[in-house]
Amino acid sequence: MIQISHLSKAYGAKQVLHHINLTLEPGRVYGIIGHNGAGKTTLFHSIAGLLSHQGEIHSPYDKLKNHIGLLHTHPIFMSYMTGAEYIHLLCHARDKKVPNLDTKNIFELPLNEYASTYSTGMKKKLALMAILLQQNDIYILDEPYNGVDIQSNMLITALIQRLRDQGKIILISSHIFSTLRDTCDVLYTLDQGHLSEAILPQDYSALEEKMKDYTVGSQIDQILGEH
Amino acid sequence: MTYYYLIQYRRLCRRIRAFGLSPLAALILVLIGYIAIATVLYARSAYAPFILILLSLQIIWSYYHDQHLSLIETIYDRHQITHIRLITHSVLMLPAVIYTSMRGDFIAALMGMLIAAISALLPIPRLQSQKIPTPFRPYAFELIRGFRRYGWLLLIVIIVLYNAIRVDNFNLAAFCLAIPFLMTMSWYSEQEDAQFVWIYQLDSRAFLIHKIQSSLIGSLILSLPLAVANIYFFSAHWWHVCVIMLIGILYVTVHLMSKYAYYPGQMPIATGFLYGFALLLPPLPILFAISFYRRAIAKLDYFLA
Repeated sequence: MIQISHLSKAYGAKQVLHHINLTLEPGRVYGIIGHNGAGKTTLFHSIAGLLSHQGEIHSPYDKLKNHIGLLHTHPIFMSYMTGAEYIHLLCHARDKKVPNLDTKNIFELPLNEYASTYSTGMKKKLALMAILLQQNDIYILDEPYNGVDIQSNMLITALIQRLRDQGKIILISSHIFSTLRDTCDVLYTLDQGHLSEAILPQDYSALEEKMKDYTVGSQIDQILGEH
Repeated sequence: MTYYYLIQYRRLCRRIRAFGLSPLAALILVLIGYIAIATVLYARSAYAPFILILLSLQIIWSYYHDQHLSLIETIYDRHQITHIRLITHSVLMLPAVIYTSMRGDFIAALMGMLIAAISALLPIPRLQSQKIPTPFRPYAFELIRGFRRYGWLLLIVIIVLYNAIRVDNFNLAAFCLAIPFLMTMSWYSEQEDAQFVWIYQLDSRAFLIHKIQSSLIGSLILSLPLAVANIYFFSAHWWHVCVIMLIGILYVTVHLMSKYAYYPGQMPIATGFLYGFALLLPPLPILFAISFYRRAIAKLDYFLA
């Protein structure tokens, strides 16, 4: 179990996260919903240890970061580096043996080509494949469905469900509500750095309606004018 | 189009300011540095004008790795892009053209301008998706990327070494031997994104040692064949070759420490000058090693502890 207490983060005078309290249990999928700029990525990076922050994170691990697979919204790939080499790098960094990539290449990626030439979806799939091969205990997936095709969408959903069955902790953000509904055991909304109370599956429809009313009801009128 | 050049000028100024320098001071420093290097080259090598042109071509080549090129392709037409490329190539070639002209090497200067202009008319070089094989381990990304981008320079080094052996010029051969170490240092100079440090489960000390080991293995793979050729053809200078190898190993080691001593930022200008000066006087960089090492461990702790 991972216990996050009073996690706060500020960039200079701008407070991005306000006293986040969150408990993450094995075998559960947690979804975070929020506007662009709400602080989701900052929260994920703080949990992963990529950003310094205030507050406490307790886990059963000596170094939590060594058990986290972090999928970035826009995975970073260096030029002149093939997909296979990227996977080797990530596995080597965690002292994991690289398996036969031909049999593990579920997304049918051209692993011998330079990763920086991949399409957006292919990059996402490569980054996901690499953290899966690292065999992490915790997966933080920032927009995993961003840019991937429908088939891969279904595959990613199935993968998340399998990881949950294996007792992994999964923290996920997505702008596609249906993907969160299909995968998450609990949802939280993050609004201006404040995390909501836990929203359980029986309340997902009400949450979706509320978000739809807010967006369609007010924001479209703002840019296109009222009927 | 004027706005494009204005934006490029602003980007350059912002980069320089982010480095902690005023654009004017940077211009003066670059000018002094360039003239110093060019003067040394002219004093040491008959191929100096061509090396200066090659240096400019190398900078032109690196321009094609800037992602803003894909942006200009989406907003400008072919004619405008050719215009941008011609201007950019000419500006980047200008220092070599001016210096070689001042030295009376008008043919080299003319060649430089022609190469700059003609290369601007060629199709934009694209990153090929098919990989270039390298002799390095798949996780040593600095070596892999450096070799794929600049490995062709080694061919030139081999040609120069061949000529040095042919004319029995040990100084030139020794210079060739130093190049792989300098290349490795430059390949490792590029700062990787923090996530590529964060992913390691090693502690800071082990991480730094791992990086130093990888860089030394890389530089030895590239330099050993040249060292063997040097010892074989200039056997009387075998100990000079050993000293150059040792200095190379020392420089690469200290360089790796210096990189992570200020990671993910850049080395302060004043320290950079002192360190640069020390590099000219081996084994002075040893003096920096302990301080760089301590700083590097502290910096890496942020991501790895």
